[in-house]
Amino acid sequence: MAPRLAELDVSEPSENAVVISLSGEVDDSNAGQIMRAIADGVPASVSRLILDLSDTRYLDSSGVEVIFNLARDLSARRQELELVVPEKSGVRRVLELCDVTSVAPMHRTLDEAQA
Amino acid sequence: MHGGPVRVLDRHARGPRGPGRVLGGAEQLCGVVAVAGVLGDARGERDARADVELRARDEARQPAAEQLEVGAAGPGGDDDEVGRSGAEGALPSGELADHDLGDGGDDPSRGTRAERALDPVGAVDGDVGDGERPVAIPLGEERREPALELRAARQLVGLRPPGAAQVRAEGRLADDPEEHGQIARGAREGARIVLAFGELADQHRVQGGELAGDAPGRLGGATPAEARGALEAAERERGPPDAVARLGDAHELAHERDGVARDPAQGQAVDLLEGCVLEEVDEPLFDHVPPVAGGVLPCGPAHQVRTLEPAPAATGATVPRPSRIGRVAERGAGGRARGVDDPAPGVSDEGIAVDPLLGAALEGLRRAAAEVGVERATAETLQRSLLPTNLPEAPGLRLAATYLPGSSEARVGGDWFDALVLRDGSVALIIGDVVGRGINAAARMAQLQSAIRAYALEGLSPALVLERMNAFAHEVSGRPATLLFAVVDLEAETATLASAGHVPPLLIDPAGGCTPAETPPGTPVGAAAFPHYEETVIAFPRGSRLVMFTDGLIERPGENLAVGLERLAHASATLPDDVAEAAHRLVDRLVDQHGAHDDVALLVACHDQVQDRLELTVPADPAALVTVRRGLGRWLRGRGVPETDAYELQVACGEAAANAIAHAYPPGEAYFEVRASEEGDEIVIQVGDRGRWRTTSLAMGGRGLKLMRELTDEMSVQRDTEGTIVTLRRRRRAEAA
Repeated sequence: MAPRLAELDVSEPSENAVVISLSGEVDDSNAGQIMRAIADGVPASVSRLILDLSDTRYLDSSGVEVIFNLARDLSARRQELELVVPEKSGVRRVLELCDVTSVAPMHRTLDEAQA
Repeated sequence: MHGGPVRVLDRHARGPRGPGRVLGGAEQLCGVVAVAGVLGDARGERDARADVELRARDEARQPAAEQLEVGAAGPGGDDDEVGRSGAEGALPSGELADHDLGDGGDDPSRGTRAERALDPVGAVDGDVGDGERPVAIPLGEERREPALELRAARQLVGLRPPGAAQVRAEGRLADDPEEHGQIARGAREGARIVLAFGELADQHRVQGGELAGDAPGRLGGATPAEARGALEAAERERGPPDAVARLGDAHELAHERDGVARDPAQGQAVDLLEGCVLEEVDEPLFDHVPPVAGGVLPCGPAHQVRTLEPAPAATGATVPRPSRIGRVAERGAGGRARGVDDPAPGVSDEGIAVDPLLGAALEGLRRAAAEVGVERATAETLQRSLLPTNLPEAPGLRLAATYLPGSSEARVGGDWFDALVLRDGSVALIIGDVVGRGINAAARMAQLQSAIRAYALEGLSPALVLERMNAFAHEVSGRPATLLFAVVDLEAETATLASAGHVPPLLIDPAGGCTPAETPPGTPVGAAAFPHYEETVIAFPRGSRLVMFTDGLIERPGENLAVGLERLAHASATLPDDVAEAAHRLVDRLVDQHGAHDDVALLVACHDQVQDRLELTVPADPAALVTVRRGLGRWLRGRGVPETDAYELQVACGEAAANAIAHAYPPGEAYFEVRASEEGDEIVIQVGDRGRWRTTSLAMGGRGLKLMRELTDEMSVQRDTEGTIVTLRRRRRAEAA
């Protein structure tokens, strides 16, 4: 039983990138919190945030909003946002429908993103 | 029953009147009055011994809690009441037996009392004449005639809410317990006031009866032992009194176990609580007793008790206080014995002439009833205001709960139920029982209820929640409580239980088999420093029910807990499908017509069978989105809808729900509805709210709207004056998609 709706796991920054894994579910009840937490997890020193959505079980338009806002904020700091979204996932379909790829490239795996 | 006329069924048992001492001597006639009754409609109370037994059982189950109770029972301690009420639980029969045996016959003070006799007339108001004196009853602000007082008591009775008080006056007039051994004692029932009186001295007969009621002559013609037996039997039937007005003269008060001691040097009765020397004046005060609603209320020889002087310094008491002729020892509500009669203004502090039987009995009853009644009303109000008025909507889990206040006075408070939808969509079920009753228990419940909500919402595991609760209960000191905490995960079809000394819940399997969901019993929170709590995970498939309750549901006087559990299992074997009806049925079957002796909190959770339709009503709060999502997901899967379809429908529905929440009116208080059904191969989902979608909001929720359209085959919005309904339709796409 997951005690919380969603959890973030921030990796040690390496090679100018920080990986933040978002597991659980994102909806209107926690999107704002997640947005702030992710933003706080990105050190100014890195040039790239890899947001790993492999374990994200649910994400709706509020989660899409988070990604758009993140991309905008990071861009203002000359940082880039990349996403890891498994090929066959409901989350990918939602992100594609909302044209998230216009602001953040999507990788199928973390390895692919870090390659 | 209440409100009927007071009738005297037996009026011939008046003792002779006249000046002179009424002391000792088997030839003396002494009256015994037992004024008793129940305030409010009698909903059944239980035997005092049952109280003791239940308590003992509780103790056996919660040894640590008991220890704490006893430890905290010192004077002035916060939990004074707890210990007191425990001690008082054994009082009625034991105490009376003591009096009967009489240990005061050789009391050294007796010789001095008569010598200190005061003029009884002077001690009473001037309107008390020689011949036709009314009974003076100390009433604090005013005095009334007993008939009035009886009526007042009856009015009190009539005002009581259902689930009534039982108050008993008991005492003895004779100053020589060995010789006379009378006990003024009675049981109250309904609005009936029971009065027993008689001549005891030589014939040892009680003649009396009930002033009104449907069982006249209950006490008639009995010996004291028989009378006592009858009263005890009545108590077994109706339950122990919640308050006992104790009557007595100074001599008797000296034998009160709390607050009065005899100063060995002077042989005086000393009231330790108030610090004054008590003196008894044995003078019959009243030859005539005014009619009581159509009858004559016979009255024993009048005595008066007054305060003479401050107690010797040795007692540590310094403040002289007015006379005390009766005391109220509350049970159930706990509380210290306290003086009944402060003098009325204008009455000399030197003494108040009273009829100790009638005056003190009635006054004691009145006060006790008032105090206990006020406490009960307050406790019940507090209690009810704290209990959830709505149970959360958890799709797939049907919940029903009920709370019944104990039938007897001051047995209200401290039991509660609660249910919360946690952040991950699982549902926390809580049932708790604070040790003790009354306002303090209700207040304690409020603390613990808030705390456990907070820990539960943190998402802590059940055992950890109880651990935190224990730490909390220690930190914010107060009474211990038993708790049962369960988290139901409908996705996993499990329930995870942890118990802090609480009676185990009953699990009813889909086939109707009933078994207690055994979980390590644990220690009540607040009872031990570092208790260990364990979790038990039980299977909770569709069609299962979990019955959580406080022990008031199953406990009966003089009965083993196992028997009660057995009865519950039996009662649970055939229950209606509807969970609310099931809860009612359980209460009907288990709580007898007189009402529960103790508080009852009951929470029934039923894991739904697969439903044809999904119908949810959830608060317009973003936190409810997960509830909708989970509920819809489970329903869709239950209908065999493939995972991909289910996910996309969840997103589409979630967007509609988020919109409903965003535009709910009034904000923060509104609910919205989600319905899902199948029409042919189409899944139809409707989300209805009472708000109006504005065009701006549609623009703001542009992505949501897009997702709704893209993820369904058809989306429509209906608006009317009532609100907005979004309808989403999507054909099953199966794995082909």
